[in-house]
Amino acid sequence: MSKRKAKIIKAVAVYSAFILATLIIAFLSVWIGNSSAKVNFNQMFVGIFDGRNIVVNRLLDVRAPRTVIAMLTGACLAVAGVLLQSATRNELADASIVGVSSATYLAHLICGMFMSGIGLLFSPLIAAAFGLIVFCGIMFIAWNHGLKSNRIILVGAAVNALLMIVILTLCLMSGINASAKLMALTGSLGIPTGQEIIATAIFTGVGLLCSIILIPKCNVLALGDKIASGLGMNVTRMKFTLIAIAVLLCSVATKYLGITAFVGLLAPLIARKLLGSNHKHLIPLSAIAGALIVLTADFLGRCVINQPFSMPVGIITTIIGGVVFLIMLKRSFSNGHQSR
Amino acid sequence: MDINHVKFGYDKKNILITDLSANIGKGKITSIIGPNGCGKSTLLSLLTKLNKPQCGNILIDGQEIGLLKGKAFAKKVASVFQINDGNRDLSVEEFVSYGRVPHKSGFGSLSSDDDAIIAQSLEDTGLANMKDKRLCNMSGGERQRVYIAMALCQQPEILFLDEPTSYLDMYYQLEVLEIVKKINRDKGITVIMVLHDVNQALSYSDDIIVMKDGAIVTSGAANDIVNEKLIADVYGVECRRLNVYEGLDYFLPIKTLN
Repeated sequence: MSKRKAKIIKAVAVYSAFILATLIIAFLSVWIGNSSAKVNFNQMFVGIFDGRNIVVNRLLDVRAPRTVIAMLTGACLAVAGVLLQSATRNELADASIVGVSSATYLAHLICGMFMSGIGLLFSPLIAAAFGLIVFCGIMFIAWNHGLKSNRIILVGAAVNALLMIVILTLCLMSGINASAKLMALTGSLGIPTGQEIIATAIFTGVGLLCSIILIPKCNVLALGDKIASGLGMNVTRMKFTLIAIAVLLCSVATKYLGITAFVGLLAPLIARKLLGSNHKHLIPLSAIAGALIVLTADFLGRCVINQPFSMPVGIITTIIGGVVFLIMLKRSFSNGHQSR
Repeated sequence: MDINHVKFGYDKKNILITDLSANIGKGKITSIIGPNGCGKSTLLSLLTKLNKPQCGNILIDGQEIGLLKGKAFAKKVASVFQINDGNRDLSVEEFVSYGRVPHKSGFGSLSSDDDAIIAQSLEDTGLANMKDKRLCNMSGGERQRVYIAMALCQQPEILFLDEPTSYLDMYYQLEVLEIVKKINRDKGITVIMVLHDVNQALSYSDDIIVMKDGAIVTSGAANDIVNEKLIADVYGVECRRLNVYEGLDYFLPIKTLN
C-alpha cells in the first residue's frame, strides 16, 4: 500500500510542478516583451487580479491572447503526438514527421488564400478533413494485411516531404507576402482575436475530452495488436479513431503554430520519463508539458533570443526536438528494437 | 466448435485454406500439426477472428463467431500468440489484469471478484511469487506463462495457443504444456493449439488434426491416427515408432525423404 501512496505523491508533485511552471512562464510572457509599456512586478501581479491598472490591462489585451493560444495549441500538438504514437506503437511518431502537420497546414494555407470568407469554426474542420484524407492515403499505401507502425512512419515521411514542397511553392508564389508566409510556416503566433481563442478552445476541449475517454483503450492497444484484438478490441478501427482525433488536434494547432516540429515528441517523452507509459498519466501530463514547451519557446523567441525581432516557435522546438529525436533514434538502434 | 467448409486467402490468387471442415471436441485438448506453411497458423487466425473466412462459417455452441461482438467473443475465447510486440514496461499483475477487460466497460475499475480471479490465474500458472516483476525482465518461458495467465483471466470456454513451446528450452516447453493440461483438466477449458513437435502433440492432446497444403489430411484421437506412413506423407520424413512405455509412443526421426 505504501508503494501506491508513494506513486500518488510523485504524481501530485509532478503535476503541480508542471502547472506551476506553466503559470510562471505565462505570467512572464504577459509581463515581459518589446513594448514601451512597462510595469514592475508588484504592479503586474496586483494588476492581473484587480484589473484596475490601465497599463497592465493593455498588456493583457495585447499579450494574453497569444499566451493562451500558445498553451492551447501546445497541448493539442502534445496529445496528438501521444495518440499517433499509440496508434503506430512507435514513440518516434510525431504529427510533423508523419505528414499530418503539413497536410493540415496546407489546408489552412489554401483556405486563407482562396476561401478567406469561411468561419473560424470551419477552417479547423476543413483542415482536419483534408488531413484525414491525406492520412487515409498514407494508411492505404502502408496497408498490408493490417496497419504496421513502421510503414506508416516511412510513408508519412515521404508524403510529408511532398506536401512541404507544395506549401513552400504556395508561400513563394504569394509575392510580397512571401516572407510573412514563410515566417508563419515555422510558427509565429501573431495576435489572435477573442473569437479565435474561443474557437481554438472549443476544438482543443473536444479533442482532449475524446482523448481522455479513450485512455483505457490506449492502454489495451499498447499491449500489442494481437493481444488487444484477443481482448475484444477492433484494433484497426481503434487506430483509425485515435489517428482521426490526432489529426483534429493537430489541425487546431497548425493554424497558429505552422509546422512546429517535435512538440508531440518531446512532451510525451518527458511525461513517460516522469510518470511512466500508462495513458492515465501520459495524456494529461503530455498536454501540460506541451503547453509549457510551446509557451516557453514562444517566450524565448519573443523576448530573449534575437531581440528586437521575434524568432518563430517552430525554430526553437525544432532545434531542441531535432537533437532529442536523433538521440532517441540512435538509442532505438542500439536497443535493437523500439522500446523505452 | 464446428468448422464448416471454410476457405481463406489474403487475396483471390493465393488461397491458403481450401474447403476445410472439422469438429473440435468440447473440453478436450486438440492439437493442429503439419509442416511449415500448411496453413495451421492461418486456421488459428480464422478461429480467433483475426482473419475472416471468404466462405464457410465457424460455430461455437452453434453460434457463428462472425456474429459475436468483440468483447462477447473475448469472454468465450482467449488466445496466446507466439509473438507479442506490446508494452513490456508493466508488472506481471498489471499485465494479467488486462485479461478482465472483456468483462468490463470503459473505465470500469477492478472489483474484488476481479482481484480474486487475477490472483487465481497467477496461482494456476505459478506466477504468484513474481507478480511484481516487470515483463521486460522476464525470460521467454516466464513470459509465456504470463500470457496464459492473462488468457485465464478472461475466463474463456476455449483457449487457443499458437506454438506455445517455440523458442523455449526443454524445461519451459514441458512446463507450459503441463500448465495447459492442468487448465484443461481442472477448469474444463477446451484447448486448441498449434504445435510443431509431433511427439509433444501426441503426449499432451486428446485429438489431433493433421494439415497439409491448406487442407486437413486426417483427424481423430491422437494415438489412432499418427503412424510412420502418415509422417512420411505429411512431413516427408522417415521415422521409427518406438514404444517408450505403455500407452506412450515416440516417433524418432531418421532422415528426410524425397
